[in-house]
Amino acid sequence: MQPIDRNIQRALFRALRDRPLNLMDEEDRKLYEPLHDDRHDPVKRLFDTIDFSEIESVQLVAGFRGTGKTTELSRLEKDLWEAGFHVIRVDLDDFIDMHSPVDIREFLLILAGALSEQLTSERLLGKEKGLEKSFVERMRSLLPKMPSEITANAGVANVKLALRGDPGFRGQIREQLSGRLAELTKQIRAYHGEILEALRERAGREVKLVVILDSLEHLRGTGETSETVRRSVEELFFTHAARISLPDTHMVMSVPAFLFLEGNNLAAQFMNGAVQAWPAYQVQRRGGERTEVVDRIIRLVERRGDWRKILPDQAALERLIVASGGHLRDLLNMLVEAVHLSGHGVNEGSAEKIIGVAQRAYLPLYKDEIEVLGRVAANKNLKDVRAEEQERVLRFLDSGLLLCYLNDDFWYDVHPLVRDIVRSA
Amino acid sequence: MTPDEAEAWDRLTFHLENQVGFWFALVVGDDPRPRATLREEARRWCGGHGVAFHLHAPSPELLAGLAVELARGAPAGMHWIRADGPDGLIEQWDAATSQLVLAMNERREAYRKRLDGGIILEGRDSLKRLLRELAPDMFSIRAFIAEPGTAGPTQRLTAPEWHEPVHSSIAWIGPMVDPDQALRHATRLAAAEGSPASPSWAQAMLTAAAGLALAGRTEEAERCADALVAELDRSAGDAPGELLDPWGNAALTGLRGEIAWCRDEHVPALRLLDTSIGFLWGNVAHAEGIDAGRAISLLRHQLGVRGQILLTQGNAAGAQDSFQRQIDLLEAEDPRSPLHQEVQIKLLQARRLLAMAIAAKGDPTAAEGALRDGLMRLEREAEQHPAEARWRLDLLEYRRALGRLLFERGDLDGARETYSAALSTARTLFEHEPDERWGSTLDELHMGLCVIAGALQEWPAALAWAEQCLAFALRRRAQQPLDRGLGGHVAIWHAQRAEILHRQGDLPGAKAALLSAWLESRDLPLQRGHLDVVALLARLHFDVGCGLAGALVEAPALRTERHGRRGDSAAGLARDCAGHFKRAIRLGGRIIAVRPGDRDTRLVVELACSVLCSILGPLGDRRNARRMRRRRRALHRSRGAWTSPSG
Repeated sequence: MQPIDRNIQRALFRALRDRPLNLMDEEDRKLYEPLHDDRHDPVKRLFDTIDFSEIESVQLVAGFRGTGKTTELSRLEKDLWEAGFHVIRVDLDDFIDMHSPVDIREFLLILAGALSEQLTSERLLGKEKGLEKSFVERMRSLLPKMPSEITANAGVANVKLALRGDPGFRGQIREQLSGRLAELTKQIRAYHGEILEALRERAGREVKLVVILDSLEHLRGTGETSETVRRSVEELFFTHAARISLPDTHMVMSVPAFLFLEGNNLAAQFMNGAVQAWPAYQVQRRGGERTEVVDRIIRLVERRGDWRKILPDQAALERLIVASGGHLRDLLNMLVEAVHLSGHGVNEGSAEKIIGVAQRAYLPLYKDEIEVLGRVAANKNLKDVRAEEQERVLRFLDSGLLLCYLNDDFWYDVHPLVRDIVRSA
Repeated sequence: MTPDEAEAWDRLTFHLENQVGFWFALVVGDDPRPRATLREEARRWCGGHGVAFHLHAPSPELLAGLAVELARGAPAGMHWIRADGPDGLIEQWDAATSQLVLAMNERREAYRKRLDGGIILEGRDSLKRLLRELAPDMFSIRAFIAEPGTAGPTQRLTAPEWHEPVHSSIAWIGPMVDPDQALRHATRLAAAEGSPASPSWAQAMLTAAAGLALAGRTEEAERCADALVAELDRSAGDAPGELLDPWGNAALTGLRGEIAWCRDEHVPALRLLDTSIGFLWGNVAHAEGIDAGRAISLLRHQLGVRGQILLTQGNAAGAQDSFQRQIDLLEAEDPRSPLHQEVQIKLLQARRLLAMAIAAKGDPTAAEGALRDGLMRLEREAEQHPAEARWRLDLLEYRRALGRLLFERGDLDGARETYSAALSTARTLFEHEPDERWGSTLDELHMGLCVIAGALQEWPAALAWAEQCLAFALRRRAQQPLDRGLGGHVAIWHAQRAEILHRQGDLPGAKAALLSAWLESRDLPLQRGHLDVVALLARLHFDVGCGLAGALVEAPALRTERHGRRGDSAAGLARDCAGHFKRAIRLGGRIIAVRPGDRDTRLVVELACSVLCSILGPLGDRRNARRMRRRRRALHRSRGAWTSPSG
């Protein structure tokens, strides 16, 4: 086949480039295709729990990278607004240093600061009213020796930067709030009460508020800090669960996968608590049979562009979908590679070549990695993973070497791109 | 390009053409040559498409700091980070790369929001696992991984073993990672705590100052150190606790000494270093645990710096003593330590400097013995670790030092052999990293070989080396046409050619080479490093002018024999001759303006004025002849001012 036109190639590249969709946006909605069936749709589960809980709820979502979680949370936001809820969605990546231990005092301050920042949205309180409710004023009474960032005019933005990037600043906060956790919690709740009242006043009716905290699952130390970060997260969710939840508010938080993997009774820590997991899309069953998700993904790809220009036939596209293991980011990367190769013409061997390139990103696998992956691949679960290997398994899940799937229960498999290598080793 | 290099380049171009906003990719492979090819192609592509290409090739110690620098709002364009090279051992690069990818992972959002362009991280194969394990966010958003040196099937028969990066190296690099963050931390502490300053503030300032000095930001480092010293002085009387512990104080004093050295203030630098070394030497035996390691490491480093200052000052005995003490401390290191290779490299570097001190002291035989011994060890290490480029770097330094020493001793054959070996090493390094640094080294070695051949009066060989240098300089200038300084390099090599041709008696050849050198150099700003070359050009123009003046005496005969062509007529020959003298005067004048005490050049200009005056008169140009006469007299009168001892 002839090489495709460069303009078409460029358009396809941009359409297939991996980025989270914002379903609150009209244009992005055109690109969206639901991939989960009703029975396994995590957004539906989250929505139902919120809708069925009378006053408040806390739902924790264990999400893995590159599985479309941010896009799906934007769908949840859209559905909730349409159902009459007020929604505040916060990307905590902007506020928290995800690689240092998190402290309940910082977390509460961040939570209040993040809500304060989002309130300026026109759908909530608007710029004027939102700023009036600035948490900075309230913090003045809590922190008598306030660092200059808080007193400055652009307080929230500076505090956000300092909290995220300066361990020294965080240390000062901790020190000044030492032994005053109850007072801080009381202040945060009072502040939240003010927010609800202001929202009620503006809406002229009772308000059902949902707070979505995204990116908390990035709270994972690396290397030498991983153990301390992990302990701090456990303490946050198990010891301080009651302080995290906000009164009269539904909360959805994406949390690190290890909380979910540990299997402790996390949901019971919260009122109307539930834990959901965001699996990879199941393109094959445990036995290897093709599922209907493949058809949905084909429709998704069709929404983004005419894949026939970059692949010889549907069998080739299906081959890529299956090789991605339902890991959307990998699939999009493979399709971008298909766009690249189509510049030299599309041929029968395109799919194999693309898979080879995608496979090389994960290789070489080292002996110590293969040993652990081999055990998971054999049993399709994590039962044989030793305690000291848990950190490594989490890293495999983070990088996509291991994929998590959901039927009635969760099961795990090695990424199809390296499955044969693990098996043959 | 090999097929897999071409494939990798094709993929890279595709992304360069299509990506918008921030993007991230890897170029990996254990062989540095294909990576270098890809890097150069990318540089060329960016140059041709108006995209800024920023190459970041720091030493391992400064690698992690790049993550912060880029997150702070780096300029748009392509940022190519080279995380491998001869400046560090493989394990040092792996440790530094671990730090880099960790820091990059933490700043992914900052890059996404603030960086309009791509980051390409180039390194060894192990980079893939480091990224996958330590920076899952960055791994997850990778645009592609190019492996230009990986031909053949992807599936291996046996899985390789993984070696964890040496964490002690990370600990060593750690405190130096981000001096700006340490400085911000200190500023906040100062704002929150007010006065008096706390020990944590002092530690943050010390870390910032050390990091800034390491990054070559001497003025900022000096400001930090001065602020810290002022606070230490202020609090000396009233503070209940000490701001810095004794080791911290010694580190600060030594650091101030190093900063003074960077500013060419040798006396205060030595005073500060002597104070610090005196304290460390007297107390290191009582230090325990981390303090002991810290004290020994400081002492070793400061002794090395002290030795180099003394060597620059010409105090060879003092330098020898300093280097010897540094070597004794390095030799006492545990050979089982994971940092053994690093210590070996430091040891060999100290031995090379010691040999230079011994030579400066007047014992070239001992110096040669020390250099040959070091060279033998290095050759053994390089053979044992063929993938480790770091050894080649020291091998090159040793060979250069030995070559210089042999040349000074008059062993020209030995010098030539050693320089040739150094050239071969430099060529390998240049193949891996075709950049300015190795280009200059090659240039210097070619020049050395050219000088040696000249000293051996092997003019054809000298001419061949000079022509090689000229070709290299011309190629570099063609690649970077906007760099005017490269014109000076081209002029240097035309001048060298001219001198060799003149010595060979090839007057027309020398004339042509001189003309080329003149065309290259006449409009260039005069740089300090080019003064000698300009002086040489002035002298050569004078010599060639004199040669032509000799021919001018027989000019009527020439005119008859060669049918009176304009250039060969007596008048034409005279004009030609006058041109050379004029150039000698103009070039010499430029030298005298910046180096008025240069008596040789003054003499050349004076004589050129005198001869030119006698040529212009018969040619009918009396006005200029008078002008030359006046100039000669002026030079002659001012000569006295420059014959005093100070001149």
